[in-house]
Amino acid sequence: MRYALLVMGAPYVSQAPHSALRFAHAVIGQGYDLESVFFYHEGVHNASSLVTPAQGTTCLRSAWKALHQQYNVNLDVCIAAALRRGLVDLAEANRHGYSAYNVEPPFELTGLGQLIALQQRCDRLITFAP
Amino acid sequence: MLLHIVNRAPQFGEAASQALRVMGPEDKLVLIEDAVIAVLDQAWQGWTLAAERIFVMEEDLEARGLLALVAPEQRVNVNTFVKLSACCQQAISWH
Repeated sequence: MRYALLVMGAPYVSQAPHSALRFAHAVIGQGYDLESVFFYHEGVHNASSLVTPAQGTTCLRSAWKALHQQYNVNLDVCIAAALRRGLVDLAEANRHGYSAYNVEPPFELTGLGQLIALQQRCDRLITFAP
Repeated sequence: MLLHIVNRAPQFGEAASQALRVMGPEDKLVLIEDAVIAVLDQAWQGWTLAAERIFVMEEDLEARGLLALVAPEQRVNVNTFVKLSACCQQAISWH
C-alpha cells in the first residue's frame, strides 16, 4: 500500500509536523511505501534551512531530511505557499534577484499539480493540519 | 468505511461534532492531538452515539496527563492508527 502525507502546520507552532513525522515512521515500520510528504500552507516552514531550534529539542527539518535519506521519501513543498512566506530555493532567489535562499534539497519546490498527482497515485493521503 | 481524524476537542471547535454528524454506520473516528481533551467532556455526543468506534491517541493522552481516564481498549498508538488508516478506504481530517 502506498501512502502520502499532507502537512499543513508549521514547526514549533502546531503539533501537526510532529504527528506526521511519527505517522511517517510507523507507515514505513509496517512495510508500506511512503512516497512523499507534501508541505502546504504554514507547513512550508518545515523546509526552511534557517530554522534553528534550541539545543536539546528536535530539529524537524533534520528529521524530515533523515526520512528522505533513509527511506527515499520525497519532500515536496508547495511553491506558491512557500514564496509568499519568504521561502525560496536557489532558482527562485536568482529569478527574483534575492541575495539568499533558504530551501535546499532534499526539499523540492513544486506545484499543487504534484499534490493532485499524489492523491491519484497513492492509496492513502493523510492530512495533518494545525 | 471511512476513518475520520479529528485534532480539535469538542470543547474548542466544531470539528469533532461535524465529523460525528457525517460518520457512516461503519466509519471509525480517531481523536489526536488536542482532540484527546474530549475525554474530559462526558457530555459530548460521540460517547453516547458511537463510543465503540471512537479511538483516542495514546501518545497524546499521555502528553496531557489523561491516559488513566481512557480504557485501554479505546486507546490507539501510532501503529494502530496506521493500521486503521490502511483498513479504512479513505481518511478524512477534520481540523
